[in-house]
Amino acid sequence: MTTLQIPPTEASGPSVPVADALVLDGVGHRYGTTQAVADVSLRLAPGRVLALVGPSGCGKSTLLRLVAGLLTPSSGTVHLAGEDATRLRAERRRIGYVPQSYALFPHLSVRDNVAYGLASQKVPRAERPARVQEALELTRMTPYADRAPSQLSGGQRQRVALARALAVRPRVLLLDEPLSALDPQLREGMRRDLRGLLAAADCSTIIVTHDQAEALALADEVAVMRNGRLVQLDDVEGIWRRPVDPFVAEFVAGAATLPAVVVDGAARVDADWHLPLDDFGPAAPSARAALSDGTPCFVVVRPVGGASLHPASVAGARPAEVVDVEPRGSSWSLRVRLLPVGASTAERPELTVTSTDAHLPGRTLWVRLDPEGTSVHAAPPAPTTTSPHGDRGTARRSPTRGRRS
Amino acid sequence: MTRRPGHREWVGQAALVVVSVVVLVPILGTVLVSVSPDASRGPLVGGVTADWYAMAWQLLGPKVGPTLGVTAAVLVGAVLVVLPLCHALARRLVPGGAVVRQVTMLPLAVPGVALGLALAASDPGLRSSGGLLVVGQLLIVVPFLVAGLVPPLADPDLVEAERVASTLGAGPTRRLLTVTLPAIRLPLAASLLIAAALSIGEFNLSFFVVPPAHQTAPFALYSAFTTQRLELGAAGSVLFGVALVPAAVTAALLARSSLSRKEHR
Repeated sequence: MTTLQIPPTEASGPSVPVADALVLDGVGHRYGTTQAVADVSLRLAPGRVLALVGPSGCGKSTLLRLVAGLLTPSSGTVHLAGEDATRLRAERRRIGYVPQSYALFPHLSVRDNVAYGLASQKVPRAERPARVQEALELTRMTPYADRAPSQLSGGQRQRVALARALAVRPRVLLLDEPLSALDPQLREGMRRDLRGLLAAADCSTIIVTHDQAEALALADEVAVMRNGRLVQLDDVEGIWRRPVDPFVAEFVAGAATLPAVVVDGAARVDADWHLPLDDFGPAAPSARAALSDGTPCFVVVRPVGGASLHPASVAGARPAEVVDVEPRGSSWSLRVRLLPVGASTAERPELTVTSTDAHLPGRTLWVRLDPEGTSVHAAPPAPTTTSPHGDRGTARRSPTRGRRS
Repeated sequence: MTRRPGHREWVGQAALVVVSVVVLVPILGTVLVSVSPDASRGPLVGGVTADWYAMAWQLLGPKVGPTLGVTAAVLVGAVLVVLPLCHALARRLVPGGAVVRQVTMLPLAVPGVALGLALAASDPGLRSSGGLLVVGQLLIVVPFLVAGLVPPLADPDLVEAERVASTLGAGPTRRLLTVTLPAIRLPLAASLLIAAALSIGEFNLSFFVVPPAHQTAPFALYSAFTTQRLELGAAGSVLFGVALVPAAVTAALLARSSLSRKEHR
């Protein structure tokens, strides 16, 4: 079931299609004794946007710096547009890098910031004004061209940083937490803005973020990292609908996961709770085939559409206690803890359920899982390699998808 | 309604007054003595005179050239040697950087006399050229340069800006000239001004390593006091102060401006 993104390196060297903007093959990096990034392999096709997501400290920013040439990998190779860039210094990689702080040069005007890379890369003088103008127009910063960075808002600074990175026509654009420096009220608007800009720029892009909503909104593909390793790489729908393990489901979808075993065509959560695979299982035959009797699996319950709450018992429902209530404007986000039924000794997992009704903490309700937002997936196999953090060593694609070309 | 100062503010203001008195009273006294015809009879007894200033300038004037020459050499050394050292310390490029940084602070604790004697003993040949004087004064200013330059060079915003510059194709020299130096220009100017002021006024260490041809302004001041005429020494001190105070004030203003820019960014 495990599918590697990149075939293992041949003795004669990796086969690198020129068409790929970026190919990482087994890239790793150590800070002293800490393995920050381990054995990461991925490809980025031209014009595609890849979001690199994961919790803080998972190695995503380190990976971005390895691509930028700001760090040198301790293992593996980096290819940019077919060129082996593993040992190439940052200034020779032609990369557009926009850090979290944007790092505009405070002593230069907006125009001079945008022109900086053109002068550094010795673009002919006559060509520079047009290239600067092009980048300013793309980012709608022409009216602010003569201003100093200190005279700009957070969103405008971000656009200048993008214009500066795009002006050099980079082979890959790297954005490190592009929206995290903005006020929460501005983020949604800026996210739309950024999506439009990236589409217009048509540049292969990697966005590092710890915000799954940002990743899903901006990217064509999402790579999930944990403890320095790539756990799953898939398109947005695949990462949402077919998480390869509970961590991905919980991190990307904010879902709750319940461990289960396949028994008689159903996922058995405990003695009294069975979810028929016909309703909750995957539709794809290959994925369904992986859920044979006796197979360990996990149930993903998404916060929206995953479960419904009822004041009294209904068929297939389980009792649960309201633990926490959080208002969300027109709805409520409830954290409920499942209560044991009969002699069940199973753990009492918690689920997040969106409800239009407010319920006080401590109240007992009945939870019924809904196939709309609940799904059953084969559990990942036991680890074959172990990282210093005890993690699996290979990135997987969801079982319904094949190896990327 | 105006807010009444709290207990801590009163203490702070009182401390400021005490310090001001401690600093200003000797300055005022020196000025009064320097314009008195005969200070032994009391300040300003017998009127006011500028004669002592004329005599003091006769002593100090010939030393201005050598003093500025030594100071210029110290500043060149600061830029060529100490600035790269500060960069290396800020970016943790030096093995045992914390120890090295403490070592650079030693001239603050070791008496100038001891440093001067150590230098004079280490290379008597270099003394006659004036090179030892420059090296000695450079040692004296190193702690101030390190304290003034390492923090701005270690600023994460500057480090990130340099990273971005490198991804935009800028090599080390271009990054230094177009990103690093503009970013630290204010603390650099402030540190160099302080170094210049220290170099111009340095006497303890210089006394042991200076060759006769390179005697600097403080030596003239010393000569003025050795004439047993307090008025002449006071006039020399005032001239000296007038030359140094603007540099010290400018350095302080630059340092404050640098902090304020950082806060507004």
